Amino acid sequence: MKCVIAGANVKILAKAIHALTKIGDEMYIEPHENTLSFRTVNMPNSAYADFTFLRSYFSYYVYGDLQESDALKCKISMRSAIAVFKSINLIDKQVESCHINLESDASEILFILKYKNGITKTHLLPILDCEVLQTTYNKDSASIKLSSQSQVLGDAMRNFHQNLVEITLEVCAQKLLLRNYVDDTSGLSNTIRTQFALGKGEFDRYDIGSETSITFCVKEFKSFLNFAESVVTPISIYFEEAGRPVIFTLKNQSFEVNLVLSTLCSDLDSQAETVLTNKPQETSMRGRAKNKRVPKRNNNISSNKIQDKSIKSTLGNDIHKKSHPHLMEEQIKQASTSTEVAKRKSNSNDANKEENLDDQSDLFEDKIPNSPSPPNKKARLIFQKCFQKTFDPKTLPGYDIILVEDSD
Amino acid sequence: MMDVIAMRDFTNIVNVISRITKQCTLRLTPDELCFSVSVDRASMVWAELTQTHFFTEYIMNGVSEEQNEIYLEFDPIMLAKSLGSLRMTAKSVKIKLTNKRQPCLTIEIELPSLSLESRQCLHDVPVRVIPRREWAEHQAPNIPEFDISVDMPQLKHVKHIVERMKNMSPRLTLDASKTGVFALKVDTDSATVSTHFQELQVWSSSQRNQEDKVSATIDIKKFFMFLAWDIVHPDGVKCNIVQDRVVNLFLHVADFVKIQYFLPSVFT
Repeated sequence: MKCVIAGANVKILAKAIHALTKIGDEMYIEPHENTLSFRTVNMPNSAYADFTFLRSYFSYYVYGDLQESDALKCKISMRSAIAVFKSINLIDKQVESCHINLESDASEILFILKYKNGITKTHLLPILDCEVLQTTYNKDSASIKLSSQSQVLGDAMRNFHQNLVEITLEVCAQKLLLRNYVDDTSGLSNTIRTQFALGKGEFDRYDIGSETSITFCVKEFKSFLNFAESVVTPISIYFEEAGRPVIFTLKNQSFEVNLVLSTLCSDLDSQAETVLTNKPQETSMRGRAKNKRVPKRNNNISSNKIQDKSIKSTLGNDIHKKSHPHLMEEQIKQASTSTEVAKRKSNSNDANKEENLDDQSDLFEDKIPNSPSPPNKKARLIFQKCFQKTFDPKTLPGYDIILVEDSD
Repeated sequence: MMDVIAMRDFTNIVNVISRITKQCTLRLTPDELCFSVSVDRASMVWAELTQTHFFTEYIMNGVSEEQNEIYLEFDPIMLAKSLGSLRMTAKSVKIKLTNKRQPCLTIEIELPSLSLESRQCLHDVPVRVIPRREWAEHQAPNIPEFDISVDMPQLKHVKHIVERMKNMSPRLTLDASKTGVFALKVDTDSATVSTHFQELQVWSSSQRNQEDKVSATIDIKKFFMFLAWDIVHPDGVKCNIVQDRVVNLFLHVADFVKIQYFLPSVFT
C-alpha cells in the first residue's frame, strides 16, 4: 500500500492522530481497496474510534499487492505515531506532503514527511503483534438520531467543569439537556451540578424515538469534538438507551469518523463490564470487572478453536467470534457497550499450538455465579434504648436540662 | 442581571474572592449583598455590593420583617467557576436560592444560540444556610480609629513593585506620613529596598509632627492578593494604618462596590 497526502490534508491527519492518542495506546492501520483507516480502542474497551480516509483525501493511493492478512494486521504503538506528527503547527507550515508505505509481510510501516525546505524525514514505525480489531455496531438501528454543528456542542461543553469525567445527555421532545454526572456516592455537598439546555432548533436533525438519557465519558468525546471543530464538520449522534453504546459520526467527502462510547447503565445491577484477557498457558480466561462502580461479575470462558460460531450467552450479550486454524482467540467482550471487539492473535508458539490441539474438542462455557450482592445495610441504632416502648425519658438523670436549643 | 458590565463586574469580584479563600459568607439584605471572608474569626475581606447596580430584579425574603437577612456560606471557587460561562457573551443571568435536596445557589444563564430559542445553562452551587444563632459571627467588622489615612497610588504601579518585592521577603512594611509620602519597604539580610510615593492626599492623621511616620509590617502575600482588586477598576483606594497593629485598605467603585480589607500586622 502506498499513498501520498498533500499539503493541508496532512494537518487533518495530524489532528486525527492527536485525537486518537487521547483515546487509546495502540493504533491499527488498515488499508482497504479505496480507503485507509486508523483505528483505536481504549484500555478498558469502553471507547473505540475509527478515522477512515476516503480515496479523494489522498492525492495518490494504490492498494498494491497486499494480502488481506497483511492489510488487517498492522498495529503500531500510539507513541511512535504521535512522534511523527508531534507539532501540528509546524506540519501545517512546513510539510509539503506525507507518504505512507506498507509493504506486504513487512515489520515496519513507513511515514515519509517531505518538507518545503527540501528536508525529507522518514519514520519507520515498527509493527507490533499482529492483531485484528473487529467491531460491530449499527448506526441504523439506533432509535435516536441527532445531528448538529460541531460548534454547538463545543460551546455547550465549554460551560462544564474542566475535569468533568462523565456527562449525561438527555433528550426531550423539545430540547436536549446536558448534565454533569454526579455519582450518588460521592456526595452532593461539594459538587456543582450543571445543566445545559439546547433547543431543538439548534439541530439539523432531531429524530427521537423516545425520551431517554445516556451517560458517557467526556475525555474521548472531547478529543473527538476538538477534531470536529477543527475541521468544521457537523456531528451526528446515534443511540438507543442507557447501557447501549452511543455512536458519534463525522462525515464529509474525504473522510468519515466514528466514535463508539460505552454508556453507563442506569440499572447498575444488570450491568457487567467484563474484559477478558487471554493468557496462552491457560485455557480459561478470567473476566475482570474493570469499572469500580460496577458490581463484579466473573465470567470464565474457555475458548479455543471455535469454528465460526457465535454464542449467545444467557446474559443476552453476544459474543462474536471468528476464528482461523492455529489462531488463538482473544476476546474482549463488553457487556455494557455491547461493542464487540474480537481480536485474533496469531500464535507462533509451538507449545501453545499443541495445547490448542489438545483442547480442540473442548468447547465449554463456564460461568461462575454472580458474586453475592452486598449485605443489606441495616440501620444501626445508636440510641437503641430510646425506641423501646418501655422507655421513659424521665428516668434518666438530668433529663430536664436543655443542652442545645432548637434550631431554626 | 441583564447588563453586560454588571455581569462582568460581578464575575470579577467573585473571581478575586475565590483566589483569596476557600470559604466565604454571603449576606443578603434588601439593599446589598455582602461577601465576607474571615480568617481565624477575624474579618479579612468585607465587600458590599449595592443590589440596584447589579440586578434589574431583586427579590428577597428573610426570616422575619425585623430580621430580613439571609446568610449563606459556600466555596467561592465553585461560584466563580459557575460564573465562568458568563464570559461567553451571556444574555442574562438569574441567581436564585433554591432547595434541591440541599440548599443551592442556582445560577441560570441565558446564552445566545444559532436558532431563535436561546441556550440555557444552569449551575447548582451547594451552599450552607447559616442559622440565626450564628449570625453574630458574620456581622460587619468594626473599623478601628486610624493613626493615618492616605490615598493609595495607582494599584497597577504598586502591583509591579510588590510583585518583585514578594520574591525578596515574606514581609512588607508600609509607612505613611502627614506630608503625603507613602512607602513600601522590604528588609533582607543583604539589602533594604523601599519605594516612595509622594504627594498623596492625606485624609486624616493623628500625628502632630509633619515628619512622623506611621508604619506597620504585614504579610506581603496577603497584600499582593489585595492588589488583584485592580481588575474591578476602583475609583479610589485608601490605605489606613494603625501603628504596628493593622492595615485597613478601603476600595470603592462609584458607590456600588465598597471593599474593606484588613491585614493584621506581623512582628518580626
